[in-house]
Amino acid sequence: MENLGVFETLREAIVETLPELEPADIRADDTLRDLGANSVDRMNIISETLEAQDLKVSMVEFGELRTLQEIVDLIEKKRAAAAQ
Amino acid sequence: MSGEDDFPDGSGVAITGLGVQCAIGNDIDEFTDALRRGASGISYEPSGSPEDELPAALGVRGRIRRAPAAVLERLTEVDADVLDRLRRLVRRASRSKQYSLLAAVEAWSQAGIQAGHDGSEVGVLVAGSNHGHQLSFEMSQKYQKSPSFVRPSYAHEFWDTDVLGAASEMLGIVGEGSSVGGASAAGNVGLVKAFQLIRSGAADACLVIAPITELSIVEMMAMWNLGALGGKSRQEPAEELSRPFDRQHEGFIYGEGAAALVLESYHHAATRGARALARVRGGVITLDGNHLTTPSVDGEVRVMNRALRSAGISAAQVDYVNAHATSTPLGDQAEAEGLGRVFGEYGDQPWVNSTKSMLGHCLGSASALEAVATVQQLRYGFVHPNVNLKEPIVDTLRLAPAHAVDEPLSCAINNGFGFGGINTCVVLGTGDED
Repeated sequence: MENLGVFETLREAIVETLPELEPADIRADDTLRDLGANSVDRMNIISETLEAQDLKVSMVEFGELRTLQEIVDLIEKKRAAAAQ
Repeated sequence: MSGEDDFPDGSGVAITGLGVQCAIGNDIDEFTDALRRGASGISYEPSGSPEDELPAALGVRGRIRRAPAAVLERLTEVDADVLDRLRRLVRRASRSKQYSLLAAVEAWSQAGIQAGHDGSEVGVLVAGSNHGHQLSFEMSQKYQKSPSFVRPSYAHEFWDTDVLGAASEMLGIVGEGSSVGGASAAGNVGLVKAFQLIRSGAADACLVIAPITELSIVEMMAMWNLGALGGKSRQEPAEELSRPFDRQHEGFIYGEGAAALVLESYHHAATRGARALARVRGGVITLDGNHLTTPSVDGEVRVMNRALRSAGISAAQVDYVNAHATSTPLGDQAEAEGLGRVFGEYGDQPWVNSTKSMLGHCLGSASALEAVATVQQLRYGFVHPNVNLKEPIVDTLRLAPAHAVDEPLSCAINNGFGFGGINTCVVLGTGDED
């Protein structure tokens, strides 16, 4: 999973948690809530994405984010910082 | 709600629903058929990776063979909305939670109670504690990789009451609910507390769920290091290794199992036209004054005598005993001696068997599974085998042979003893089926 892009990883974590969704139905401007994730699902999805990316980031930083794109952007930023 | 007036002496509380998930069956009919046949659910598969160098005995277990998804497919009689909620709740849950909810839905469907629809008070009790050791172990592994990888949902999953909340959501039960512990006697503790809840008038009916005690390799190693596990001298044939009351017993074989029972006041059952499959006539929990693991003959005798008194019956009226008998030399010997003292001159009258000879020891849920086995033997008039009994440790008890015996039964006791000196005994009788 590590060689997947962040968005792909996030999408896999979403489908794993919400199997009624098709990957093709998941778009960058969706919010996790729109996709049917409850409050605990949302945190699980982010935590699993971070684990799949082997990225250690405090979950607190994701509190205010809404769309999948915003989540992806923060993870990309943290990944770039970690690589430096 | 019901009051004491609804309980003439000896009528007890009705059992109107049963559910079971264990190594010999994924529903009540399959379980009952396996009991009658004397089918063993014990198998051997090596545990862990070779570099862990774990004792081979840890691979001898009673394993549930059918996956939760496959069990779900078989639930054709369950309400569609309940089934939808069940599917969602078991998704990615621990095995303990998955099979507990599957057992709960079977018992609830059989009972046919419509929670909340008629103003009745329905409760739920989760019988057992520390169900999720394997989940804790997995989260510790994640923590070791990075603290931030610990799954957020573990915050609600690590509580024993996670199953309680899930059952409440799945079935719409909104009366009193809690979890009750009691080590390896927890199943019986749940039955006694549900009985008391209904007798007190605080609930008309109560669903008792006894989840799988899902041990990780850490707890298995503690049991092994203590010397409590069987399979020491050989691991195969695995089905011969759980042998309660037999001279070759050498420790318990761990089994996976969950059970659920619906208890209900006779008044409530009669009002909605439901029949009692069996009845709980009484039940008692007592302590030994000992926090360790050794059994006490005196404590076991005391709890059985008190349970019989609570049900208003004498030892002479008991025709069947579902023994706690785990296949440990010390425990089997203590119980055999205790039974000899309780039944005295009637010692050769009640049949005695141990369901653990087929399932292994399911720890927290063991006595709930055995209560279900007892109800089925009362209903269908048979005594299941002690499948590996070849050389009995005593000749003073009427130990069931290695094959089933057809015999009408009317009154039974179900023993459950736990580490920490917890002794329980539940008295069960026939219901009002034709």
